[in-house]
Amino acid sequence: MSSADLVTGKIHAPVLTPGINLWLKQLLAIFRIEFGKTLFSKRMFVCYVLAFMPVLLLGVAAFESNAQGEPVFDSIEVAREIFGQIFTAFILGGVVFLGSAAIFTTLFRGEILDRSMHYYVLTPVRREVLVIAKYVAGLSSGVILFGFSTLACFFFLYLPFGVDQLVTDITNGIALQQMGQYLGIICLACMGYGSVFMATGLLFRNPLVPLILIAGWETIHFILPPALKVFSIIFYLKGLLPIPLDEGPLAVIVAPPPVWVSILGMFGLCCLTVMGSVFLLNRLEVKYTDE
Amino acid sequence: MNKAALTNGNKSSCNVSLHDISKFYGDILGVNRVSLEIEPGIIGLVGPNGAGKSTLMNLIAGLITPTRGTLEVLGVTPANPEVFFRQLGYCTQYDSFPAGINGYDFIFNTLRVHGYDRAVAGSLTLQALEQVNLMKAAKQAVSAYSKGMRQRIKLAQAICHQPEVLILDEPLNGLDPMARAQVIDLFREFANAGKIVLISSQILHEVDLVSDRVVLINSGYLVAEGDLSKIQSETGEPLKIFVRSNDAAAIAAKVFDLDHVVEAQLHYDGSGLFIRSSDADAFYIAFNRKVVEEGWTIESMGPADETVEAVYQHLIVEQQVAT
Repeated sequence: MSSADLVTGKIHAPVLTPGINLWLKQLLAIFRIEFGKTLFSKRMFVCYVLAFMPVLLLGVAAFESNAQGEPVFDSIEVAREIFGQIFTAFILGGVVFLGSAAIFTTLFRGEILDRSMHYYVLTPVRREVLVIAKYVAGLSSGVILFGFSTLACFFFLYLPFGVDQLVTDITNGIALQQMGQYLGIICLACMGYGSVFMATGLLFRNPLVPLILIAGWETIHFILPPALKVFSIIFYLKGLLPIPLDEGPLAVIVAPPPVWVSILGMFGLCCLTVMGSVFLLNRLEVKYTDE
Repeated sequence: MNKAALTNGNKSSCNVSLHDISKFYGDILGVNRVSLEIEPGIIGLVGPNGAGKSTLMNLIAGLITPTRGTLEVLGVTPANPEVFFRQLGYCTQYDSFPAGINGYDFIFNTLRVHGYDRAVAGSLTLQALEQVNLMKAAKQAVSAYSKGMRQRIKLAQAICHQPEVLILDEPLNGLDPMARAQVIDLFREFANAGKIVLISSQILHEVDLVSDRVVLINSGYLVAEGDLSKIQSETGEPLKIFVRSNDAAAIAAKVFDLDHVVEAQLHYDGSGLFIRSSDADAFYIAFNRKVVEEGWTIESMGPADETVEAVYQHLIVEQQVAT
């Protein structure tokens, strides 16, 4: 094959017409690349460690129970309540928060630091498609990783009480219902935190400072007055917990938002911040010299 | 190419058009008030380090946005990325790649993101790899490539979707002489197919070799643009002409009779003569008449300094020295 044949196009690149079909193809292509990159990159090591920590904690408790011959927790009801505390404070407030930060802030900032952002910017892809594809890839990775972590924790929670207890709770629906609620909260948390952190990664050269500020805000939300509580993500997520939590003597008690408000609130936040990311990406200049 | 625009006969829809483009990085000037109309062919972008070549290329490629002015590539602005980036390929100066990727996947993924089906993307990938002679290294990690191979894989990525406008920032860097010749042939094929190839390079004799026209830029300002003879005649710099003849000595004695001749110098072998003229066209007419009158035998005659280097020397180096 001569050079001339190739240039004039022995194999012609077919004309692609912009429209929903093309956007879906591009979205899937970017998703496939980003999903693999997000789930299996070296940067994700910290997320794997984070996801493994609660599993390790409950796993040790379960094996300790087996070694002692009796459960660490008095009853499965107490165990579920303690798991509720662990889930809120450790899994939601620590693992999912930090894991989402690691996944979503690097979606764009990581590319800029690696000086490979221009490869995406130079492709004929609507910025909306690029943002949505990357976001969905990050979300899928987060939900899979932290979802499996929560499932494993739940398994270790039941381990000291035996298979019979697990079968009974599955049969009467309580285990499945609580598991479903916890997984739903994981999903919404990744959505909410993820969208915020993606925008943070685009907006700030060093997302660490805003990340610390957000973490601080989320940590002190329980002492905030009701008018300010509504601006924290964790406030909406706590309203979805299967077991109400005691937030301590300093907490400002307010009625949790209705379930539909929590769910719609997360979707609303997600839509707003993803649109914000599209706006930021449209204004992004690839020059790397400042990084 | 945009066929509808072609049939409409809209000239700017076949060109890269820059209208009064300026780019400032804070207080620092990138480029200032650049207006250009780049037509199909190979265009060499020449200027010293920091002249604004990469800024200009990044502006045309839509990687950065102008502070002032507008630009269009084949009648489309970067605000319409779906059309704009389909007709544009850019081989940047950035020597970085997605982590852990191999040559084949690097091109294939790009084409998939463009929206091509798996089979088409596969065929176009192989075609692009063959064009840059990287078929054997296709499955190797790009991180293990040599500098020249990385340069070629970037080039393959820029051409894989068969763009109408190809922008190449220092594309010959790191290439061995054989690869250099192949790549230059490739640029020529693109230009012959009616496409625009904009090349920046510090290696002036290579720009000279490949370019149909040149754009000279210095300190962010457009210094000159067009074909070399036009630039030289516009600069007013005396043109150096070499005449090969066995009557060189006789010609040297009488050539000052002609208007516009400012200098004549015999070649060391005695069979040639360098003549400097302030008006090349007038000189050629008068000299032809003189040759017939005197009965001189002329073997060959042509410009001796119609090179990018000569123009660069006059318009940039000498100006810098003067200031």
